[in-house]
Amino acid sequence: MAVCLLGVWADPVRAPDGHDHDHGPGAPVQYFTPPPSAPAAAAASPSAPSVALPAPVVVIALAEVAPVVPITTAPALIALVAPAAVSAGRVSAAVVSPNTALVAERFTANMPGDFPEPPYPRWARQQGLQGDMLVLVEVSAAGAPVSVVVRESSGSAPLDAYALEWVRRNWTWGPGSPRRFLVPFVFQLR
Amino acid sequence: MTHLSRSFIFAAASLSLSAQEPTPQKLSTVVIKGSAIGGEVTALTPSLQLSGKALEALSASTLGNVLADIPGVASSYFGPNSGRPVIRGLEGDRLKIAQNGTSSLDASSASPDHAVSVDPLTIREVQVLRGPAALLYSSSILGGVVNVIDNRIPVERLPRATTLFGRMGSVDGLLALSVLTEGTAGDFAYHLDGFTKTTEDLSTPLGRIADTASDSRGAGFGLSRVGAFGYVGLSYSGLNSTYGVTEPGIEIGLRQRRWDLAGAVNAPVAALKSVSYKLGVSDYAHSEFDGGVAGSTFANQGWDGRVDFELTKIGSLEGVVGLQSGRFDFSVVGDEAFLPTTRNANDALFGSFVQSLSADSRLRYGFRVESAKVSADAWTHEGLVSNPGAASATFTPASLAIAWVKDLNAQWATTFSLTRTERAPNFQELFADGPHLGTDAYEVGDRTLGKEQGFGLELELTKTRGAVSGSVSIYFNRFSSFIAQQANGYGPNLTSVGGPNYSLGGADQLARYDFVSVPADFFGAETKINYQLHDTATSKLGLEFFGDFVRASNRDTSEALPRISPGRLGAALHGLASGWSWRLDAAYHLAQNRLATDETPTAGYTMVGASLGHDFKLAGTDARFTLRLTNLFDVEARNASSFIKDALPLPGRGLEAGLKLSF
Repeated sequence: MAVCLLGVWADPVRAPDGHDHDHGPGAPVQYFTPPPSAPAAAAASPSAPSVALPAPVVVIALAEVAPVVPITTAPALIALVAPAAVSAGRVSAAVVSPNTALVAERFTANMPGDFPEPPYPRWARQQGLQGDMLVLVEVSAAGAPVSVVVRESSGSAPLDAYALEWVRRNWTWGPGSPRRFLVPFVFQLR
Repeated sequence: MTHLSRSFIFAAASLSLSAQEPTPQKLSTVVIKGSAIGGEVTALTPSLQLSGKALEALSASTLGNVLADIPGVASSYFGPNSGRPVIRGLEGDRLKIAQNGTSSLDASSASPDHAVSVDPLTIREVQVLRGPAALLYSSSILGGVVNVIDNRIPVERLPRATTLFGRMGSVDGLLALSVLTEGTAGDFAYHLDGFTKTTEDLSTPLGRIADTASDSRGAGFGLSRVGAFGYVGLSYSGLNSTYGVTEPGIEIGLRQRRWDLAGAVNAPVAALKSVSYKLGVSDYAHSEFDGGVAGSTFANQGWDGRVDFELTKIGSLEGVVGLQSGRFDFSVVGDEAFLPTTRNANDALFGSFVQSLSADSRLRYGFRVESAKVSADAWTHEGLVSNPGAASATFTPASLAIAWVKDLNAQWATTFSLTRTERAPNFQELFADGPHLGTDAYEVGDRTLGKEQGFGLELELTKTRGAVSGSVSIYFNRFSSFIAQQANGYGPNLTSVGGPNYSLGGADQLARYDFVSVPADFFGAETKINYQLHDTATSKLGLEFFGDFVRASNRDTSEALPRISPGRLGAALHGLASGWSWRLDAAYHLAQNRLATDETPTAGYTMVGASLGHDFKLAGTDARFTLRLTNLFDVEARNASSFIKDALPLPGRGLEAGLKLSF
């Protein structure tokens, strides 16, 4: 069950400006901590999408499930492009042709599916582990996560693994076409 | 159920991009918030917690020592092996020590020379709870409640981890090795820990103190089934410890075995966020050996269980209600039989809530109602009263607490708390009649004692963000009845019935102390302020100031209450550079010249210490090296809250080194 607690916090965490898109698997995303030069590159990216595509850095154990949609295909597209670019034609093209990269859609809590809240793990809290991370989820037509990948690490491998495991075990989307989502996770101790 | 606040947010997403110029666009961000100290507040939020590196950096000897650096906390320090925390001048049964939320079921509240049955090497987290949240565990909360968490029952899937932790210390010849392994296999998470620790006689500026060596071993194993439903787990643990208590030839041999069951069910019905339950069953005994011969044996056999219902948020109200129930049989046999065998029962109903009043203020409130019964067996015993018959006493303590939290701005908050507490007298306060070697007194209980009752006021100012952070609090606790030990001449002469002569001039002369109810006032203040001079991920520098102060008086006589650590003032400089974390601290402890009858003063003293920590790779393994220097100037110091302050100074200069390997 998706839980929406809007307005609980005086300072809701938001994606940093201009860094809410995917540069393709393996690309330096820098979602939470952009380098000084990143804003310019990000601003330019919608009109100049050129990203190399090495293998993803971390893939959670999903070997038993054959990926329905290839992640590392060319030409790469910026994950979240201008609405005009995310046309129905483009998405269906991706489904038709496995050589076309899927566009990462934006993730919202109220989309069809089940996104239960992950508790802060006791071991992470006791060790003071916290951090921001970006997870790329590839979802099958049936709505199951087929591949859950770290795009930007929290800085703690166990915390990264926890978020991936949580999504893989507990999150399901509604049926549709194969999709990709970028989900930012923020582990925050106060 | 973890005792932490958490929440989860999907920030509203909006999409507004133009092809040429992307404008800010929000993704739904999953925010997982943990453990709010001074920040976000829930019904379960402890006011302080220690875990991880912060906990490992502290002394490994006793629970009292672990907490003693915290403003407001002192240790009862009965030598290096036995020390309970004393918070705001309150100790013993007045300061509940819970183990994973249930009772520790040891004998430590009965006498200061009895160790808490939790070795610091097995502690993974310590929480100090105050105000309404403390009512989850005790009805006597003016000092707070200490909850010790050992992680033995996994509550969730655990990343695979194995750690080895070795320590060596010069001041007490410490040699300790502990091992911990955790992980998950299928739907089961497991935990295994064990330690061995030996110490030699304590070194002080006056030389080695005989009869203070110790030898302890402990282990625990836990297994839980974890899943989306919640968890259910079982653990078994044991502790064997032999330790000296500074008395010539006297050694205590302690043994505890404990089974624990715990579980939680997530959202069983719409009205509940979770239901969690815990049950601990314990078999505890310790014998006091005199020259290798068992003189007396203290035994505590019992169980303690609780169920907590965490309520689904209704409007602006969050909370927990629950039930706790415990039974234990306490007996002393042998020379030191100053108590009859008692059966003790305690049942409690409690609730603790947080209600948002507005965007910047909230109310925390809680209650706890108990039914307590202490039944003493008929006792074949010569004392003030010969062969007392069976007796029992029943009490219904009821406690309430309310705290108003107001955010003054984004950085500052203030909390005003009112607390009304009641505590049932314990078996010792009711039924003692005999010589108690630990306190070197002939103790006399009073079967007609009523409940201890107190009322507390506290004002706290906290700053949680910014370069300067910290808190200042002042409190005033007034007990209309406070159960204290009052000097009353000397013990009886029992030679006519073939017993010892405890009276003045007798062969076994022993001062007599009666448990009496007196009106008492405690007031004090605490502060801890950190000024972060420099703060980046790899380089930090901070300056900390801390202090506390407490004054306790019998209101009838205006006389001071005994064994009160009057206060201290300190400063610390701490930093991180090139992968090394370090800390230098100095604290001036005030002299105690406000004394109870027959109490001796303690002089003021300054303690200086330093510590160093470094994370590195050792043959591909994560390693952490720690070094701690204590009492740098080898100052002779006496702890005012110790029963044996005249005989035993605090430890002298010492160096402790630790190495932790994580695989």
